Amino acid sequence: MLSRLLLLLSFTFMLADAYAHDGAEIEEDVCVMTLGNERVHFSAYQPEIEEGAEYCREIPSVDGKTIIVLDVIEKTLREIGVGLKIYSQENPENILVSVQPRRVSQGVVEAIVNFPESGRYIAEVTGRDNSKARILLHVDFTDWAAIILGILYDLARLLIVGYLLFRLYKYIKGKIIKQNIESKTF
Amino acid sequence: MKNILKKIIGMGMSGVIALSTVFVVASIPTTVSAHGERSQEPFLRMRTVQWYDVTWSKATVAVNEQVVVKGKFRIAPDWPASAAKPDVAFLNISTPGPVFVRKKTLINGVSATNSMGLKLGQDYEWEVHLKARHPGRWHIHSMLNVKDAGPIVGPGKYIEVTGDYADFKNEVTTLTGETVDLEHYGIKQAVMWHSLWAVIGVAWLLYWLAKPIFFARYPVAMSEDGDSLITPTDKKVTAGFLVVALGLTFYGYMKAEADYPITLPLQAAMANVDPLPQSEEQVKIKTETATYRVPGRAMKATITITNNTGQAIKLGEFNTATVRFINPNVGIMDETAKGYPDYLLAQEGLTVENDRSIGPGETTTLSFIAQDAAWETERISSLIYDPDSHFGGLLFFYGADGTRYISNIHGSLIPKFI
Repeated sequence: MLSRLLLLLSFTFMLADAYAHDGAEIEEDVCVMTLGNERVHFSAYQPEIEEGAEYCREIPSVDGKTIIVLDVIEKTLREIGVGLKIYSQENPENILVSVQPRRVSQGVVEAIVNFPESGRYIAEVTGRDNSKARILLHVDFTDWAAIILGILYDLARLLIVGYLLFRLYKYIKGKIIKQNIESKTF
Repeated sequence: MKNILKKIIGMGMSGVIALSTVFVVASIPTTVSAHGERSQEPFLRMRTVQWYDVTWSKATVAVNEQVVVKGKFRIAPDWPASAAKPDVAFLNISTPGPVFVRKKTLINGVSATNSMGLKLGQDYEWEVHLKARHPGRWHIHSMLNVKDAGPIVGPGKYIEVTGDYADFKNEVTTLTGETVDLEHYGIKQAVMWHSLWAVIGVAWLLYWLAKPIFFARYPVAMSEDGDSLITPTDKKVTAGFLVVALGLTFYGYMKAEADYPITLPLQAAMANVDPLPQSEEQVKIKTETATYRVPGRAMKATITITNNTGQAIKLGEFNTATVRFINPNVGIMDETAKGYPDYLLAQEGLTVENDRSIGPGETTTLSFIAQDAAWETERISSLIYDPDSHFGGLLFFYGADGTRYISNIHGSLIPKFI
């Protein structure tokens, strides 16, 4: 019984860190960047790898072309104009894509990029007024340090709750014995 | 660390339970939706209720002032087979809590306090009068509740309510001529009766909780000696509670009958409302092909159009899932668009290939592209993942004299990923 409860709790913990991009409200979307008070939604597609799959910070492959799309949410920013630059984090001079800031009446900026190798890249969105927002892209790159830290954090939480549940179990068991069921003194 | 753990254990069970609660609560996902309409399947938003001409009379109102939300909707003729038909529907308003009170609802001039049946392919004109109750900035949507299909939400707009809630009054005159403020009417009685029953309920619980804890009683209850748990005193106390509960119920009924001799039951009848008079669709549309290009946020449709209007017309707008894609070559042709929520208005979102007037009596093929980031930000683009990848909407054509002709459009939508 206790093991089932622990299993259930462990799933609850995992859910807390899960995040589904698809269907999330735009207000809570992790792929939304802000330029001042205005917002831009970033997404990436790799139709040659998996049609229809939408990516944000984790791009699974360096093979084939990657289509980057910016959705400019606020109308004021569409008028101001938005540009896009993608470059390697290790070598910022290595610019893979550069779209000059321009008015986007329909709010869509599209660019195609071919990532030369796996690694970390920066997507930099620029407003015509030189405001900037950046996100870090992991392209075919697994950040093992972050994953291990995450697992350790979850394990620590699980151990603490497991210990507390163990104490609860012991308490209830002790209480039942103390009540001296056999004597029926109610 | 060891000392801290010792202290926690020293706190006893209450400490353990409290800490467990903290950890479990901390683990609950915190992402909560704000604009729930976006989580509704796009095929439902595009192919059930087509809201148009929706206006909000004011953007700012004071407490006690009224705002009128009105417009029209067309019940889509291509209503999805997987959703229940609107045989029982109720026009509602979606607000974040009771921040307004609804004073009047009309559909085609008929009071719509009851549910009604709506006919596919027909238009209805509606208006809802709302009285501001709580100060704040509130997102107000029209909404049609369809039995077994759920709520279908219309466009939403922020309304600012100023003033002080303490000033709010909701006075009505009853059929007996008495004027009452519904905001406070009967509150004392409700509080008194709820408190009384709460006291009795708590007393009942405390009586049994004062005995040995459930865990200890459980094995005995499961054994053959279960009856020994109930003492003669328990039986007397239980009988006392029963007498008090029945007595209070009887007294409450008699007092309510004496205080309010004339009452009406809640009205559950269905209203009958005829749709707006409709002439034959003058611009006939047949969808030939339709694709949605995912990275471009663009739907391209090719249609065969027959103009039976008697004058040359141009395609001015594609309206779907409350988003209005406007052809800039025609421009905004109606006043309602001026106050329309900015995030739902794609002012340059409609491009018509070889954009030209279609002559009277002419049958021709026409292609248009509806493109805007709203496909993504309003989560309509997820249509391609729906089990029913059909799109729907309304096309607005305009004659040279400004007359508007509304046509239905629907068909299969093929996604393109490159």
